[in-house]
Amino acid sequence: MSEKNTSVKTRRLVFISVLVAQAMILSFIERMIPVPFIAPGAKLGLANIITVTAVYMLTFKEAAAVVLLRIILTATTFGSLSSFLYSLSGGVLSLLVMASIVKVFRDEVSLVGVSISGAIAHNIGQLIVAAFVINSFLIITYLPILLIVAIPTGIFVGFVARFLINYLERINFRK
Amino acid sequence: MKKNDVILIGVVLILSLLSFVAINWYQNKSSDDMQVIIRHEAQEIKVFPFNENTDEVFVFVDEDADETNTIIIKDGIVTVEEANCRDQICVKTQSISKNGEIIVCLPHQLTVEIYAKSGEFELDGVAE
Repeated sequence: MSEKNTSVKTRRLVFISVLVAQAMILSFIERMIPVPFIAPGAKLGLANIITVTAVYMLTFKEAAAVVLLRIILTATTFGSLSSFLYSLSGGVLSLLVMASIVKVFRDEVSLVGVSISGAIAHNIGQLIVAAFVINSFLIITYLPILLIVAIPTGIFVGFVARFLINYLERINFRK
Repeated sequence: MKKNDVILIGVVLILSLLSFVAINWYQNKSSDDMQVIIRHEAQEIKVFPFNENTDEVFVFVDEDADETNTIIIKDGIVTVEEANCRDQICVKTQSISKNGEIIVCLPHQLTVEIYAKSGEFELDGVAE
């Protein structure tokens, strides 16, 4: 019995580590993809694919570990202190929002809705920190365009996460 | 996708369109005494009176940090023409010309804002 427990724990630990590695690589790839400039802060949010997956398949604590480890490791390898603050505020807020939505509306909202909400929370978290850093709330005027951008990117991320979760459930990684 | 996703998308679209309208309404309240305020680390470093005839070039230089931004005010629009920040977002941001518009360079903590002096809607001053 205890042996089986250890095995399950190890598998979960490995699963978390794989997700963190994937999220880091996705953050890195995102920096290399040239995307048209729409508004400050608008981006694809590829790492959100992993956060959505983690929130959906793991417990809250485990998903939080995935998000925080990804943010810390990405900041220390390719980021700076200020980029760490922005990704931390965005990442934590979107994690909280997505985890609550999955907990409360698991069967009523699909991954598309979850990832759009997460993208919006991410934008709001970053804008709040930016507003304090520059001491001007005018930066909030970028929110409407960011909300609109969050829709197509959120749909894309939601669909990709759906594919990923289908595969992960097929290979039964968790048990 | 489920029905609730479509509802969520609809709500987000409506909210953003409404806030667009509200922001536009606020920004189009033109005034005779507009000014361009340039701030670094939340401190005002330069103020220019701003109208169609303003023709100024302001080069922000922080020698210690090796940071520069070149701001051009001409023909009633304000542009960050050049900067040595890593993300270049301030350069890519569209030129601004209306009350309450802002260009931000987060890596340098530099902002360029347009304000009407008699603005009733003072939006700045978070930590005051």
